[in-house]
Amino acid sequence: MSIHRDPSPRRSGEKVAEGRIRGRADRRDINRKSTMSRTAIVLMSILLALVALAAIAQQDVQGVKVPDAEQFVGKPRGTPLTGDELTRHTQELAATLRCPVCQGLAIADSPSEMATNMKGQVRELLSRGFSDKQIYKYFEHSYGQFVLLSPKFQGVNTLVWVLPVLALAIGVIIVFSKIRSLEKAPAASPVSDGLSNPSPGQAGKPDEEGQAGKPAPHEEEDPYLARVRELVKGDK
Amino acid sequence: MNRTVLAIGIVIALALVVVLYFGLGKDPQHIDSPLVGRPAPDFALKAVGSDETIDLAQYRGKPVVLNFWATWCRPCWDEHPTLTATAQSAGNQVQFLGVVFQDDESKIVDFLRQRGWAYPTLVDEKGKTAIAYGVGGVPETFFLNKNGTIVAKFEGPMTPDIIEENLAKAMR
Repeated sequence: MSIHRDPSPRRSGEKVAEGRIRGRADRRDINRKSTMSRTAIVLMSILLALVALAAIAQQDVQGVKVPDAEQFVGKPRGTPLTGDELTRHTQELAATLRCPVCQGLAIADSPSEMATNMKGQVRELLSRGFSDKQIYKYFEHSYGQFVLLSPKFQGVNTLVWVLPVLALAIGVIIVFSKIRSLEKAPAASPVSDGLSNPSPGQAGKPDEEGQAGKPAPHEEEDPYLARVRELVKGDK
Repeated sequence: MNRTVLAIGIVIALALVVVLYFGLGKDPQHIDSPLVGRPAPDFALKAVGSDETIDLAQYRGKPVVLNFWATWCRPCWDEHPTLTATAQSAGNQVQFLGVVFQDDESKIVDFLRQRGWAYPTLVDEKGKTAIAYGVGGVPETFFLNKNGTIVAKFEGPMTPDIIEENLAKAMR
C-alpha cells in the first residue's frame, strides 16, 4: 500500500489535525485555535482596510494635502508612541512650546484653538515616530525660535543664559570685597586713630596736615573711651 | 570701590534701558518669519463652496498672494475690498488665494457672497497649513514669487500700497 503525501506545504492547522490529534480535548483545542486564527485574520483585514480607507479619504479621494512635517524634517527617526506614554509625552512637549496667539503661554496651558491644533499636531507627530528634536525643528521652521519657551544656547540667546550667571558672580565679588573692606576698616578708621597713642603735646592740637591727628571732640569727652585709651596706653 | 560699583550700576542700568526700549517698542505678537526666502510649504486644499481642490503647485510660474483670514476678524473685513479689487485688476498676472483661519465654511461663503468673491478661498482643516506657515493671527499675508519662494510676509490688513510694495518683490 502506497502512502500518497502531498508535497505542497500545508497550513499549520491541517498539519496539526493530521498528525497530532490524540483525543476529543485536542480536537476541541484545534477547533478553537482555528476559529481564533480566522477571527484574527478577519480583524486584521478589517483594520488594514480601515487604515487604507482613512489614508485614501485624507489624501487621495478629496485630493487634500496639508503640509507635512516630513517635508521639512525628513522621515521619522524616533519610536512611535501610543497610549498613556503618547499622552504624557505630548503634554511634556506641549509645555515647552509657546502658543503664538497667546501672551507667553505654552500650548499645553492655552485653551485657544490654535494651541489645541498645535498640540494635536505634536501628538500626531509623536504617534508617527518623529523624535523630539524633529518636532522642535518642525515648529521652529515655521515660527522660528519664538515658539520655544526655553531659548537655545546659541547666538544672541547665549546672553540670556550667561548674563544672569555673570550678574550673580559680579554680585558675589562685590559683596565679598565689601565684607573684606569692612573687616579692614577699624584699623584705618578715626576711632582706631583715636585709640593709638598720641603724644602729650600732640593731643588736642592740629598737626601739619590739619585735623587728621586730632581726636574727635566727642571722644575726648567720653570718659569710657578715655579709660579704654588709658588701658591701651598704660596697660593698667 | 564706590566708583567701580557706580560704574557697574550705570552699565547695567543702561543695558536695561536699551533692552526695554527695544522690547517695549515691539509688538509681542509679531513673529519674524523664518520662512521668508524659503520655498512655501506645499498644500492642496478644498476650495470653499465647491468640491474643487486647489493645489499651490499649480500656480508655479506666477506670483501668488496667500492671505490667511477669518470672518470674525474685523481687520480682515477692512482689507477685503482692497484684496478683491487688486485681484480683479491683476487678472492672470498674479494669483490671489485665501485660506480660512479657524472659521466655519458656511460663514465664509455668506461673507464672500455679500462682499465679493474674486479668488479661491481654501479650507484649512485643523489649521495644519496655518501652522506650517507660522501664522500667529489674522490677517497675515504671504507673497510668493513665480518659483514658489516666500519673498515677504505681512501681518495686518492690506492696503494698496502694501500690496504694491510686496508684489514688486514677488514679481522680480
